[in-house]
Amino acid sequence: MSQGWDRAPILHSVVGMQRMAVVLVVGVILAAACGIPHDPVGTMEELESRPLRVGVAESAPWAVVDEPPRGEGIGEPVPDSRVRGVEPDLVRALAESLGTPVEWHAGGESELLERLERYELDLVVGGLTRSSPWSKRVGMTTPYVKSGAGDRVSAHVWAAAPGENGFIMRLERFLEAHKDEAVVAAEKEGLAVAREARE
Amino acid sequence: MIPRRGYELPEEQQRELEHGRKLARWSLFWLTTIAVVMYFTMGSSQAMKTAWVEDVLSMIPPLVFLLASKREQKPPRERFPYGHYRLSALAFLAASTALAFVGLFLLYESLHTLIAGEHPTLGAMHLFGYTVWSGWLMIAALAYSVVPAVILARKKKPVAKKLHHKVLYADAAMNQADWTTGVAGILGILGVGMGFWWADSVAAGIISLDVTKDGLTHLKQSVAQLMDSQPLRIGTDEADPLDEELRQALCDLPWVEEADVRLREVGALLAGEAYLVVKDGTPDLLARLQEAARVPRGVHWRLYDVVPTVVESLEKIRHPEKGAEQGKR
Repeated sequence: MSQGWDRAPILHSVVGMQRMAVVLVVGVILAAACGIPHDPVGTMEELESRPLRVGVAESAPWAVVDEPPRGEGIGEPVPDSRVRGVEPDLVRALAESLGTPVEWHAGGESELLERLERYELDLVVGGLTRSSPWSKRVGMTTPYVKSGAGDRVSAHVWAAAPGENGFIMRLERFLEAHKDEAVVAAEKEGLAVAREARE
Repeated sequence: MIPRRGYELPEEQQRELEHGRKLARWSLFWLTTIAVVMYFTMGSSQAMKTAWVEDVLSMIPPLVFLLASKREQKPPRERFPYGHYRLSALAFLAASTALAFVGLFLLYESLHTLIAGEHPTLGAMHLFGYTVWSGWLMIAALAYSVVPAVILARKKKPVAKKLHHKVLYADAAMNQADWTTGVAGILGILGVGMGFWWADSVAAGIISLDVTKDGLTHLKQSVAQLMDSQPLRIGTDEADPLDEELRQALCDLPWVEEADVRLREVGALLAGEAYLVVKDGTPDLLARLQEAARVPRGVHWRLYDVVPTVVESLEKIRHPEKGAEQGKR
């Protein structure tokens, strides 16, 4: 540090610093121009040619997967008609805006989130909340609606695969635009909800 | 043991000391704002977390300087007959040890994240009704963290040089190097934005190497000073020229045949011994010695505690075995 610092290797010289600053500013501007952030595993790109794989965790009325009719197997993926609820409806709207069909996968929350972590699914919905211990392992959105009252308020989120920041930003913008619809739909189901205050 | 009279900094140095203390207070203020901004934007980025820890740790040198610089000036007393001038060097030893260990820990964390293949999720932040990618905010925070650091470094460096205060100098050097942290962090975030998930951990690794290096370098320096090593010119690896200047000034005394000097750093000051070989037949040796004792302070204000002593020959000091041989003959 002090030994040799005065000999000013290029990094520490004033000119070096100013040049670096210019390079960085230009870099940031270029990055902004080319649609940052991107997905390391390429979710947004892949969605141009394949359906959106959505895991639905049973959590009425946020997401409900109906029993198959007697005699039929569970079926994987789950047919669209058997998936209902506030969040699946929103997912359908998202898929429409993306121009992709939806492939529903049913299961328990943990199992679905594990599959999400392994990039086997693109999105998991179904009453997920911010306080979930999974928040560090998958890419959770910021909360878009909250339910409950007093101490027991839950902040609801959606989960995307970890690090898929481009796709996550798309989800965030979608949820921001549709959060009022979410409140209305949830209230219809008898939930005491409120828009998540954002500041 | 009668302690020496206390040391008083010359006027110019006293002004610089006050200025330095003011700069240290400003450093603490700006570093606090930086720490707050970084904390609220860091999210789950390993690079941001590492940079934040570095920013918090860089509050230690100015704090040490503020706490120690006044106390160091206290005059010697019975318990501390040599004074308190090593206070900041000692505190800095502790601080640099901490820095080195924390740096290694941060390095371990970054490598762990990299090897585990964890893709950092950098989501959205909602500000004033806009949905913004958190990466932009992180880049802004990193850019902000660089500016006060570099400005403060520029101001502190000359003060440290005038005071010859190595702790303040080290503080300025660490602030100056902060800009490489900012660059690494920004490149890391941009890398993640471009889809390179590993850019974040790599940036974190680079930043933690910087912290470790700072810690180890200052540790080495502090240990050397506390071992009474050869005084080095501030900010370099070169020997301090005062050693030679003092020796020359003593040799210039008409009654001195030869002289040599041994010095050690005591904070910003220098202490040690001057070995004088007196010309044959010099009268009134006591007065001569008193004259010699006044020479160091005349050469430079840093030469505080140099004790002159008369010796038979410098050869005997440097090579005592040879002297013994000659004695046998």
